[in-house]
Amino acid sequence: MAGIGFQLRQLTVEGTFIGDVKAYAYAGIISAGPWLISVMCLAFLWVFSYPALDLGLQKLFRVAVIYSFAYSLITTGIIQLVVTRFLADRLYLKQKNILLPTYTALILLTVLIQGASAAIFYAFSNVSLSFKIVGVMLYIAVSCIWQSMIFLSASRDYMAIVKAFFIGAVISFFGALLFGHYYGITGHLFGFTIGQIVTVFLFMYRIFYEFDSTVVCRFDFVRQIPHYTDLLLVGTFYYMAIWVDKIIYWYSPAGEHITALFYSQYPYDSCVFIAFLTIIPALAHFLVDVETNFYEAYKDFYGTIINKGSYQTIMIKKKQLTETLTQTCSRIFVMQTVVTTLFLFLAPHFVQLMSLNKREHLWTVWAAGVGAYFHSFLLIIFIIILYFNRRREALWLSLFFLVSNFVTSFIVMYFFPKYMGVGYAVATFLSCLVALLILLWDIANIEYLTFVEQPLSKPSLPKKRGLAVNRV
Amino acid sequence: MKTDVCIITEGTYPYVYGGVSSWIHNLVSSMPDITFSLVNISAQGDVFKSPKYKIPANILQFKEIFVHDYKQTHQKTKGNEQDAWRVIYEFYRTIDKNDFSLFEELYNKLIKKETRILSTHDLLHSKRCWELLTEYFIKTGYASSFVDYFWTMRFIHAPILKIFDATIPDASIYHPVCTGYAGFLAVIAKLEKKSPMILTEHGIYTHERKIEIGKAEWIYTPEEKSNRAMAGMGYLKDLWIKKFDTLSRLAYFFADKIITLSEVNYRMQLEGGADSSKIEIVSNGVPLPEVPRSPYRNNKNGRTRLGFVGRVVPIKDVKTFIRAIKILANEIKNIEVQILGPTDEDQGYFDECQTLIEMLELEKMITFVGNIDVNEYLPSLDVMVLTSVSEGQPLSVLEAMSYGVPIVATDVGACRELVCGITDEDRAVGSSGILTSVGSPQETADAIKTILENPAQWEMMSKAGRERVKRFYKAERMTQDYRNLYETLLQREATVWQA
Repeated sequence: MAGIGFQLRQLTVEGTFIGDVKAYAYAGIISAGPWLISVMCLAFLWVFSYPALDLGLQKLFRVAVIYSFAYSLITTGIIQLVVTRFLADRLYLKQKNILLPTYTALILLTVLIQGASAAIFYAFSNVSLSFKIVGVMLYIAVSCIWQSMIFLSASRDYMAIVKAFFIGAVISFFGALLFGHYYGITGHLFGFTIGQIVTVFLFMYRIFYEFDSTVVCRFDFVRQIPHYTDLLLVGTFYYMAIWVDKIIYWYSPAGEHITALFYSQYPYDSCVFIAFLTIIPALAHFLVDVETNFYEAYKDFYGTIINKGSYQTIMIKKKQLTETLTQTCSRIFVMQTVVTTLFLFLAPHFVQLMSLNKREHLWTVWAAGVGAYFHSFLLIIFIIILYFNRRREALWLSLFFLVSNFVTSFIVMYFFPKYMGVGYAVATFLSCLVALLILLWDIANIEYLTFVEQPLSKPSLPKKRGLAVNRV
Repeated sequence: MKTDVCIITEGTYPYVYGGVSSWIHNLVSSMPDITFSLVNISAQGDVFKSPKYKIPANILQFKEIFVHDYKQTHQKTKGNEQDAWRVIYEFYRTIDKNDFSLFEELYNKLIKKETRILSTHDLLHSKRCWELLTEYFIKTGYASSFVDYFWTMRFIHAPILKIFDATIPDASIYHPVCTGYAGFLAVIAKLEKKSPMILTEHGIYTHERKIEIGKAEWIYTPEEKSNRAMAGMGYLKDLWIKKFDTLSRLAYFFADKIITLSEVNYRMQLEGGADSSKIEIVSNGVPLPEVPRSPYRNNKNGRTRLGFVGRVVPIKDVKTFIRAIKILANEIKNIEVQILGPTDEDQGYFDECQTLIEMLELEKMITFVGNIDVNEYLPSLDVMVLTSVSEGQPLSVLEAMSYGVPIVATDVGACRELVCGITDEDRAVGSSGILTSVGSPQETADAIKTILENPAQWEMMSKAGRERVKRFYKAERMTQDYRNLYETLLQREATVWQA
């Protein structure tokens, strides 16, 4: 994650207003790029595909795409933090040539595992065989997209990410319309899938271009997984937590049964998706601010420790670190508050835009907006906690988020069916509080945690004993 | 099972050859009617080791403690934790005053398993520990590397905490053969089992650690800044030395009897904080062989044979010996040199010695005989050489003297007493060899040459050595002294033991 930050700082250092805006815009697109582009693409398709596809088929198409996105994000999310950490460690050890073999190995595993699981899923649905095949292809393609993103972040090649997404989305849009015109719903999905596959190949091209290696494929990272079980669980819990409320509504009485195993809850999905877009500005700001200003102070703090600074110097650096962090967080707080307030005011318009029942779903948009508000802070604090390598706390936090989102969403769905989204808002609020408490405690005790929680091992060579400073 | 005596050693018997190991082996073997248990404290347990001695039948129990195997326990009972930390705080404040009366309270609150309020894990990982550490860092005015200070403090204390968690065999007397961790364990044993403690110190522990620490390259030594006068070797090395010094003084404080081997060590123990009324000198003893060494230069192959007896480790300074041989090689023809002692204890140092031998082209002359029974080799030596940096009362010198082999030894530890004598009566016996300075190949070479070139002097020294052993350093005398000591403490009637 730090990688992108360095590149961005080069942009902000240029000092011009345009430069700053450019940096923020890039950061925003990187952090929410897939989200924004995919949602836009789907929205355009919804509008333009109408004469070719009837409403039922449109719904089938949308649910297939959303399912692919949701479940691929959850399943690849399991491994995402582990791979990120593995790459960061290898880059730190200057073993850059392990990146490419690891990438091919990861893609190989992704294609096999995701392909098999998607095949099993589609085996139980009563769509045509060709639709099933294309569905499996789409699922594999988007899974590969998320995996490739990890490596492109490590290469700091954010322009490539943006370009590939944009090109893929355009091809998806026209491909879906073109093939849909001749081959109906299957053609529609196939065209969309082609665009996603193009994105994957563009990513692959960038990665093969960027990293060099004589070895084609290495499964080293698989053996590392047992060392990172905590990160594995953090990824699993976090991505499950993000989707659990939506899944509850899909399968709720209010959910719509599209076909076979596919369920949908269009009003809830669209309200939450659109509300989630409000975190983009704050997240963009976070990437620029935290990864430049904060990261400097962070590096300075640990650098002082490793470079044999005295206790007094370490404490001065701690103070600077705390101040920088406070500044960053308060700026993000202000920004997110402004954006969310605007969103809440404009909510009625969004409801209309999405052609939803205004009276009934205004509540949902508001609740989702508030949920996204807290989700933004939660996500940011979460990343900071991982920065400090507080993996155990990150694990508890992600588990808390998962359980609370499940419990509150379920209660609200069951007892207060009219107030969709309130469960999500309550869960993010509670998780955000917990996250804040953890962060405050961690920061207050940072020097103690850095030192005393280090395990003692055999002191055969004490001079080589460094500090396992987090390098995520 | 309760034994009469529990011997506590540190990294020696029964795994390592050497003076202390032989001493323990001989002591235990010579008292078949007294039962012993043995506790050996070593660094790590993962190295394959096999006993180098045949364990006598009267050692009924053998226990090992690995102090560098850092696993703390969570065992503790409920109690006022803040109060326990207060005691720790107080204890550290009084450490410098040579007053360890607070240690018993510390023992009850931290060590005694039934009453400890803080677990060893707490002691190393809790917030309060961190506060103490940082407070101490600030108070001492160190302005240098905190990370090195932190790890130094951890590595200083972790092995001690390992001893907190050790289980100790039941015995009527605890007898550590050095201070350090062994002495510390004995102090805890004394408090736990309410049994008396006898401390025998061969080399002076603090002194030996000081030499080691001074040479240690793995301890970070900050570059001296002129604004603060530092007398020591850098604050981290000072911390290490302070640790071992404190452990020694604690053992002296709690020992009921302190036994030292020589006058020199007696004085060093006094300086190290031992109470003079507790100290008693019991010299090493060796059996006197009936047949002395064959007459001068009488080897079958007609060569002059020099021997170095000792482990190949830095403290024995084998390199100085090798350099001395180089000087001799140019002057005396027809000599052969044997290095009698294990070479596997410090592989790096052994390799360095071999490289030195190759560089000086002495391969044909010097042989590493390895680990052997010295009794088979000593009688054929013409001169026995010792170049140690530090010694207690070297058994190898006594053994060589018992066979009538003249000695060339560095003037360390009790070597002067052994070679020249202590009392007037002792001195009248004559010198059994020549003393040299530490680290001086030239002096060592000259001394060897002097002895070899004067047959009359050789004869005198040979006789004087055997005579001195016969009069003052017989094994039987040493055994009798310890037997008396044990039996007084065991409250048995001292019986006169017949040789």
